Amino acid sequence: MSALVKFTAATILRILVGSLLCGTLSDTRAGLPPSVSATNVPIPKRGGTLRLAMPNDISSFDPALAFDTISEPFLMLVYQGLVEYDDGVKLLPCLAKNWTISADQRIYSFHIRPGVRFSNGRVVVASDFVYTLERTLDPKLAALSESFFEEIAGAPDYRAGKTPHVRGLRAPSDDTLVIELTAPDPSFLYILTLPGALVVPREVVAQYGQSFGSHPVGTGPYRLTEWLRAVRMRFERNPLSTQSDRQYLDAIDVMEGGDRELHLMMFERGELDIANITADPGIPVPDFIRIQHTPRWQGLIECMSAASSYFLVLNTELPPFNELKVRQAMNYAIDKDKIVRLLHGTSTPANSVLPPPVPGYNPNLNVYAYDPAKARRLLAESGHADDISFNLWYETDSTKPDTTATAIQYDLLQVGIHARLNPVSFPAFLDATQRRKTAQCSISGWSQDYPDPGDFLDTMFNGHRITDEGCQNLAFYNNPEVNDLLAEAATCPDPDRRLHLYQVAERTMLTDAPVVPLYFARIYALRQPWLRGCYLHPVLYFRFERMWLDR
Amino acid sequence: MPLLEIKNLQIDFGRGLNALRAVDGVSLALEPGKTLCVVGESGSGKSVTALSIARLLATPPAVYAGGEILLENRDVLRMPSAELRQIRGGLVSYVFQEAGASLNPVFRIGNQIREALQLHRPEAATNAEIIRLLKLVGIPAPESRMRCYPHELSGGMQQRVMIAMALAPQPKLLVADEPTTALDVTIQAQIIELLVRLRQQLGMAILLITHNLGIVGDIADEVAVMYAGQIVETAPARALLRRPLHPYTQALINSVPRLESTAGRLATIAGAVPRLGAFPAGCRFHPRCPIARPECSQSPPPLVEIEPGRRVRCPFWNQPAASPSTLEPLNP
Amino acid sequence: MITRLLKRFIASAVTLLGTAFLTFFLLNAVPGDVARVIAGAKATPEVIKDIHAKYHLDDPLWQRFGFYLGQLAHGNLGHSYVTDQSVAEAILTRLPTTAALSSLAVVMWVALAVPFGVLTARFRDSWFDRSVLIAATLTLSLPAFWLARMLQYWLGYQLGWFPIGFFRSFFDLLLPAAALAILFVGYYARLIHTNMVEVLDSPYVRAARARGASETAVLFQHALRNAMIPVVTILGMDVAGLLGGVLFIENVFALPGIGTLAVQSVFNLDPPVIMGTVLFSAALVVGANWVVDLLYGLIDPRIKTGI
Repeated sequence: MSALVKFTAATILRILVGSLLCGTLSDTRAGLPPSVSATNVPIPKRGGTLRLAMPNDISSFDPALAFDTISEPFLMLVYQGLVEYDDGVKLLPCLAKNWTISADQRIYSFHIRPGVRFSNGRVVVASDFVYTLERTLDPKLAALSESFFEEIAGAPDYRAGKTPHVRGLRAPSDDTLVIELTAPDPSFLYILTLPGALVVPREVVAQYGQSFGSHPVGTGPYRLTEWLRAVRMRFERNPLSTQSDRQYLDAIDVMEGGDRELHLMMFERGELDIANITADPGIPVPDFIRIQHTPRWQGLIECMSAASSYFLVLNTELPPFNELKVRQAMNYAIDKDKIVRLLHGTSTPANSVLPPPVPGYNPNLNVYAYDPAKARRLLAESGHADDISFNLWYETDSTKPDTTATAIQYDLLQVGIHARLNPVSFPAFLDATQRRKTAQCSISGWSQDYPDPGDFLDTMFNGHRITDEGCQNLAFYNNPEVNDLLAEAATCPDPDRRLHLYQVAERTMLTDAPVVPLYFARIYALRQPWLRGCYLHPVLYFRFERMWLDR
Repeated sequence: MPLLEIKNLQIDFGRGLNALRAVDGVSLALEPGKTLCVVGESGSGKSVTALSIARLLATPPAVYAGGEILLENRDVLRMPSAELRQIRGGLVSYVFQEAGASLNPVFRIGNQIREALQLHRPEAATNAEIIRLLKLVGIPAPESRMRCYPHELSGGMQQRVMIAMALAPQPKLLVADEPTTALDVTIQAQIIELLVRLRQQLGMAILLITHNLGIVGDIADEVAVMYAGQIVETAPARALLRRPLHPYTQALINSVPRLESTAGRLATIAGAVPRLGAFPAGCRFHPRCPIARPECSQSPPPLVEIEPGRRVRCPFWNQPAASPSTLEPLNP
Repeated sequence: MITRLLKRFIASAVTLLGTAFLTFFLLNAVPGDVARVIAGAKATPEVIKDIHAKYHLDDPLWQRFGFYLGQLAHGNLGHSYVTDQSVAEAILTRLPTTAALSSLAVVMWVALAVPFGVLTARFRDSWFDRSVLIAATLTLSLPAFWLARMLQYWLGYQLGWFPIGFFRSFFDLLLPAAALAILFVGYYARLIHTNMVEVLDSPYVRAARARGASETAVLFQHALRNAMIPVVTILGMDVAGLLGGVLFIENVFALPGIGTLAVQSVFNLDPPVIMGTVLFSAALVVGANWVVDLLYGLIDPRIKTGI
C-alpha cells in the first residue's frame, strides 16, 4: 500500500476511535471540558502509574463488607458483576452477556459470558453468582448491603436458618443463572450493581476466611498487589483480563492518610494526579475559590451534579414539628440561595428531594419559595409566634453542615424561631436521628445507592418503613396517601407511569413539609493536565480503569 | 625573692554604689618553702584572699578592685588566661575545706588524679604515678582504691585524695583553705601531720587558711591575723602565740579553751564580726575592743611594722586598757 | 530485693489494669456506635444487629471487659472491628515509623539543647542567655498541630525545600522530626541550663578550675556530666511517651505511625485498637519508669542500683 493510503487509513482510524470515545460519554455529565475536535482526539497511551491519595483506609476489599462511595471505585478495579453502568445511569451487560425477564417481572434469566477468569485463573460459572449472593445474605457475615437482596425469593427463610440455600437463586447450568424475586421490582437490575453482587471465588474465600478482605480475587481489570493497611495500596494490571480498553495504566498507587489540605498541597506540587478522590466536594472549601481563579488549573476542574440531596429533617412525631403550619413556616423561612453562596458555590439550591441525575427529578418543582413574612404569619396563626425552640442536630465530620446549620439558625431567628446548634460526631448523629422520638430536627442528606427515585423516596418517606431504631425515615413521616403511591410505584411495570407515580408522591410529600430541601451537592475533581479519561460518573464518581496518562 | 607577694589587694562584691569591700588593702609575702597561716573568724575575708591567688573568684559578683598578686613576680590579676591555666595546678595548687564536695562525684578518684597529672605533667600520667601519690598521702591499698568513687571514701580519705591531686602537678605553693575544719579531731591531726611531712619532703610553700589557732602552732612559720577584710597583725608563729600584740589576737588566743583551766564559762569576744558594708568608723574592731579609746572611732589605724617581721594595726598595742576590760576573767 | 521487685511489679500491673479499666469504660460512655462506623450511613437495622451479634456489642459491659482481659492474659490484643487487622500487628508494623521519627527528633533536640544549655549557663544573664530564654519559652508554647502545619505549608509546599507528607524515604522524616524537635528543644535547653547553673556553682567545678582545666573541659566534662543526670532520666520518660504515638505531627504529615493509628481508631470508635494503643502507651510509660530507675543507678555512681 502506498504511504498516502496508509496515512489516510491511520487518520480515519484515529477519527473513528476518537469519536467512539466522545460518543460514549453520557449527557448527564456537566461541566465538560471543551470538546476536542474529531481530528484532534488523543489516542490513549499505555503505561504509567496513577498516583492518588485518600485520608482514610478502606475497611475491606471483601465487596460484601464495603459499602461507601470511597471504596467503590477501587472495588470496581478488582471485581465485576452481572451488569455495569455506561457512562451515565444506564446499564450494560458485563459478566452477563444478556438476560430475559419473565412476563410477571419476577424471574430473571442471565446468560453468563463464557471464558471470563478470576485473577487466580479459574473460569467464572453461574454457580459462582449463587454462592456470592448467598454469602451476602448470610447473617453471620453481616454484609453491609444485604438488605437490598432480601427481595430474592426464599431469602428470609435462608437468613433464619430454615433452608440451606436460597430458593430464588438457581444455576441450572454453568452459563445460566436464574434469580427469582418475591415481587416484581423494576429497579432490580440496579441492585445487581451493588458491591454485594460482585462475584467472588468460593475457594479463595474458603482459603482465607476472615482475611479474604485483604486478599481480594476478582475478575476486574486490575489486581490488588500490595496493601499496607492504612498506609498504601497498589493495583497492577490483571493479566487474565481481556478488557484492554480498561488497562491503559500499568499501576495505580494510593497513599493512605493525611487530610484534604495535605493532598491538595501535594497535588499542586505535582505529586498526585487527582487532588482529591473524596469528590464531595473534591476541593477543600477554603481553597475552592482560589483554585477556580488560578490560571494554572483552568479547564482541569471536572465537575458534575452528584446524586445526593441535602435537607433539613423535621421530626413529625415530636413537637413543634408535629404541626403542619410550623413545618411550612420552616420551609418559607430558610434562604437556600444564601446557603449555597456560603458554600462557595459547591452546591446548587434544592427545592425537591430528588437530585438532578436521578430519573424523576423535576426542576420545576417549587412548593415553598423563600418568604420570611409568610413564615411569621403561619407561626402566628398556629399560636407559636415566639415560643419555638429546639435542638438542631448535625454531624461534624465534614465542614458543610456546620456552615449550613449556622445559616439556618440565623434565618430561623429572623422569624422568631430559636434553634440550638447541636454538633456531634457522625456515628452519634446517626444513632440519635435514626432513633424514634429523639431528635427534633437535623441536617441530613441522602446519596443514591443506585439511580432510581424509589431509592430516595421509598426509603425515606414510606410510613411502613418506620422502626424504633435504625430508621431511615428520619422524619418518621407516615402519610397513607404517599405510602400507597410508593407501594404502587415499587412494582409498577410501566417505566413512565412509575416515574409519574414517584413524582406525584414527591410533590404530595413536599406539601406536607416533613423536610426542607436545602441543596444538591456538586462533585469536583481537580486533575493534572496529563491525566486523561478522568470523567466523573454520577454513581461511581471515578472510573480509574478508564484513565490514562499522557506523558 | 618571695614566691608569693600580695600587695594591697582590694576585692569588692557588687558594682558601683552597691559595692561592698570584702578585702581592703591586704598585703602578704611568702617565701619558698615557708608556711604562712592566715587566721580569722568567718567573714574576715581570708578565704576570698586565698581564692584570689589563682583568680578563682567568680566575677561577677566579685570585682578585683585594686592591688597586685605576684606569683614568682608575675601579676596573677593581669595574666592572660592561657598563662593563668598553667599556673593553676602547675605553680599553685588548692586543697579545699569540704573534700567530698570538691571531688567530682561521677569520676573515679584515680581518673581525677590522672587528669591533674595530664594537665601539667603528661609524661607522668601513669597508673604507677597515681599509686605513688596515693601512697604518699597515706592511702592504704592504693591499687584498688584508685577505682573508687569519692562517695565510697571516708572524710579523711577524701581529704588525702584532694591533697594527692593537689600534689600531682608538683606545685611550688599549696593553698589550703580550712582543710581540716570539716573533719573530726583525730583525723585533723593526721592531716596536719601529713602536710608537715610533705612540706619537708617536697619543699613546697603552704598558705593555710584556718580559724583554728590550735593548728597554727603545729605547722606555721608565720601567721597573719585578719579581721573585717584587713590584716590586723602579722608575726612569726611562735612569737604571736606567746606574745600577741593586737587586742583581737589576744582575745582570740584567750578564747581557746585550755584543758587545765578551771573556768566555769568559756571566754568569748563580746559583739559580733561586722557585716560587709557595715564596718564601724575608725578602727573596725573598736566596738569590741577592751582597750578602745575615743580616738579609735575617728581614724582608721595603719598597719605598722614595730619590729622586723612583726606588724600591728593598733597604735595602743603596748598600752594598758584605758577602760575596764571587757574581757571575761579566767578565774572568777 | 526480691520483695521490692515484686512490689514494684504488682504496682505496675495495677497501673496497667487501671488504665485498661478506665479506657474501656470511658470508651463506652462516648456517644456513638462502632457498628455504625463499620456499616456506614446507609445501614439498615438488620445489618447493625448482625454486627452487634458478631462483636458481642450487646453483652453487659463487665462481661465484655472480662472477656477482653482474658484475651489480654493470653497475649492477644484482638482484632480491629473496622479493618479486621490484628491489633498487635497494626501496632508493631507502625512502631518503626514512630520510633524513627522520635529518634531523629531526639538527636536533633539534644544536639541543640546541650550547647545552648551549657553556654547560657556559662554566660548567665547575658543578652545571649536572655534571648535563648525567650526563644525557649516561645517554642515550647507553640501548639504542635499549628507548628507542624506551618512548617509543612511554608517549607514544604511554598518553598519546596522538604517533602510535604507521607513516608517514602528518610527525607520525609526530616521536617516532621524538626517540628517535634522544636517543641522539645526549648524545654531541654532550659533544663540543662538550670542544672548547669547549679553544677557550675559547686565546689568540684571550682576545684577543677583550680587544677588548671580548660574552660571547655570544665563545662563539657566536669559540669555537663553531672548536669545531664536528671536530664537523661527525663529524656527516658519523654522518649517512652513519644513511642506511644506522636499524635499531631504524624497526622499532619500523614506518617504511618502509632499516632495516626490511635487517632483513626478514636474516630472509628474501634474498641480493640483504642484499647491496644492506649495500653501500649501505658506499658511504655511504666516500662520507662523501670528503665529510667535502672539508668539512674548506672549513670550516677552515688546511687546503688535499687530498682
